[in-house]
Amino acid sequence: MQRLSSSAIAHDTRALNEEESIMKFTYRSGQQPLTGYTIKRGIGLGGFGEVYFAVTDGGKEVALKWIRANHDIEMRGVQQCLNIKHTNLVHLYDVREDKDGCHWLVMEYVAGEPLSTILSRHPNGVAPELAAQWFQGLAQAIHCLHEHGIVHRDLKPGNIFLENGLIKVGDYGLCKFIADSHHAGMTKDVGTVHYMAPEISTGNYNRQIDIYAAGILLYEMLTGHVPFEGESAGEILMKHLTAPPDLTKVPKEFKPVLEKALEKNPANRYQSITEMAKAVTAVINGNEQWRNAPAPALTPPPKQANPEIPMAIPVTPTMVFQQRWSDLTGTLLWSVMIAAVLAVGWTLFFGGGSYKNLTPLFFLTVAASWCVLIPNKLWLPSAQEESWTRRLLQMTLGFGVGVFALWLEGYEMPMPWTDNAELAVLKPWQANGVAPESWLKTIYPSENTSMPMLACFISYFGLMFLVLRWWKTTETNRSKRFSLLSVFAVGLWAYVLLFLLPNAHHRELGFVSLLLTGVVCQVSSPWKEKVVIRKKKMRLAVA
Amino acid sequence: MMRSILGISALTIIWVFCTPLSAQPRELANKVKLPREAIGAGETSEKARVHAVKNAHDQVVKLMMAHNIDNENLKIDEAYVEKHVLENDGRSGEDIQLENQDPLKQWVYNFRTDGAWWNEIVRQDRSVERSALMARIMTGLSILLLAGFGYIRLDEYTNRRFTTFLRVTGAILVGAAVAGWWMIR
Repeated sequence: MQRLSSSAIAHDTRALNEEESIMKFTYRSGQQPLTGYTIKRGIGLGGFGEVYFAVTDGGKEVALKWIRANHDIEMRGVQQCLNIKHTNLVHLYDVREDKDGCHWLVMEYVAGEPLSTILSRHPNGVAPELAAQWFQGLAQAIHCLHEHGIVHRDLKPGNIFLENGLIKVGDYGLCKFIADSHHAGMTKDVGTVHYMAPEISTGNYNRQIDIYAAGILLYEMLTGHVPFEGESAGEILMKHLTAPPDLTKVPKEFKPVLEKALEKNPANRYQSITEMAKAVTAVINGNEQWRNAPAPALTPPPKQANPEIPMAIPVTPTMVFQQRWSDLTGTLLWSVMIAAVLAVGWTLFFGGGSYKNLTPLFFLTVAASWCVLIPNKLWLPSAQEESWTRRLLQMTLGFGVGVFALWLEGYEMPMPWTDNAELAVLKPWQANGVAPESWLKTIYPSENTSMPMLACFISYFGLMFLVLRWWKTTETNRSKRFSLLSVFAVGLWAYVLLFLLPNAHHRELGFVSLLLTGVVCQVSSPWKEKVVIRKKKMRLAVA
Repeated sequence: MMRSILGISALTIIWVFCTPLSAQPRELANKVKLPREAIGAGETSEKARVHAVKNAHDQVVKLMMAHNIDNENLKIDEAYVEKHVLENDGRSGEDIQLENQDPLKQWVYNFRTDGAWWNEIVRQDRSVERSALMARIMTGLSILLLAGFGYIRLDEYTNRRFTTFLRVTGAILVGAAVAGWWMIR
């Protein structure tokens, strides 16, 4: 009797994202839990531990995995893979123990996005030729593991990364020698339910489970979703065991390949990943359009010693780049429209019948919104957390918004290359014969004798951009589509700092534009509702 | 990166506090001959005061026209002039004696002497000009964004099968829009 606990099974990508948003990392930036490694930021939380981006004393960037749970399984898997080197595998450098006796895995830091993130942006899948290219990289990595007698056992988009156009397979936590896989009568927690081969439930499996998972991955890349979905892990497992995959949504050329890869009986599947990779290549070569698709202009990865598997064509990050620009342009367009509606609405209801403020309010709102949206949309997804770099960048942009506000209000900017002769009376050191009271009256705003106008504006907007975590309002995985609390926070700070602005007109303009910015950023930014998966204990008993 | 940002921030702050404190309305009071007073006459002092305000407004509008400032956009009216341009509440002048009629009352307003009101008008005019400029820039940017967004979405929708065609079409459309704008202009 085999018992398969679903507590580990349920670590699919969506659950992981849910956990990430709820859980907090144990270590913060700057801490050194492991001698010689300084934590920079947390980058992932998984069933087996926490993953951090860290830098060694020598300056090398690494990923540190703190193994907290399933220690034995994890360590066993890691030790088998520690000396494997392959272009398409995330390199494992070392296993270290900290002063508290906790184990840390030192890994290659992969800056690219996980495939799960990329696929989540492509609900209808990616282009077949691109999927085939990515599959070649995946196949090479699996082939390398199989050559070393290792079954990955946890192939899923969350464990596959795309860095500089190169596929990298990571998370060796569940890797296991094939020889161990045949032991019967053991309780095993293996892999993620959506990618789990039917024979895993019997406990008698081999490298074929990776081929099955590769078939699921290829299906997902082509269609944007996995072939077997359900309300619970049990339902999905039952579909793996009994239901044929729906291949009507994949390009017809791929159907034979997927049919064979997703066979319930492992004996009927491809006997090696190499065989499957060749079949995929044949499909692409058999289609003129796919074959003649524009070749990506990237440097190919170094040649592998084993020519058995065709060299993976380096994939282009064009899709990722395009998606990011698509998000950005769409968001910016939305922000313009929303800002226009809000500015008109505000002027109608609170403008007191005067339309004088409408255009400055609109443009200032758009400028402030873009200064929030553009850097935060282009910011690397791996650096979502707070950092002073981000805050200082925001502050600098806030200075720019302040200058823009002043320019929009019709004030002249003193530039070294412009003729400022007419401004001579405003320069205290050139104001011959002008009494101090007189020039003080002209260079300082009448209602505020503390700072010159430019300093007022840039201080106000700079501080507003510094103190608030604006990027939180633009994140796709924020908890709510629209948070009134965020707008309230913006309004509160905008009100508190109003003393910096010189007169009532500027105060209204500054306050309202920032308030509207708080709304615009949230409404125009894409939002993805989190799927909450109930983690109930489930046991699947297979005789 | 961090150092660069800190450097840029520091330079910005230094620039702000160390350059001439002249981010103010261009001081034209020295160059422009501003009116000094406005006189109004009427049967009563109130009518004379209203007439004086109207005269002051006329002078301001004349001055604006002389400097190519369009009052259509600014809408400087008599109330504005009375509130922002004229000094205090004015004073009564000498009565004007007319034959066979009651004497007319005079009211004299002095214009404010610091020229700030003129700077303010110039600033407002510049603000309107810049808003118009921004409207054009924003329209252009929106069209470009729309074109970019449309191209990317279409390219995705067609699974990148017509990338070259879409690029060429996009370039032609943008080029045509620019050429059309240029010709109209």
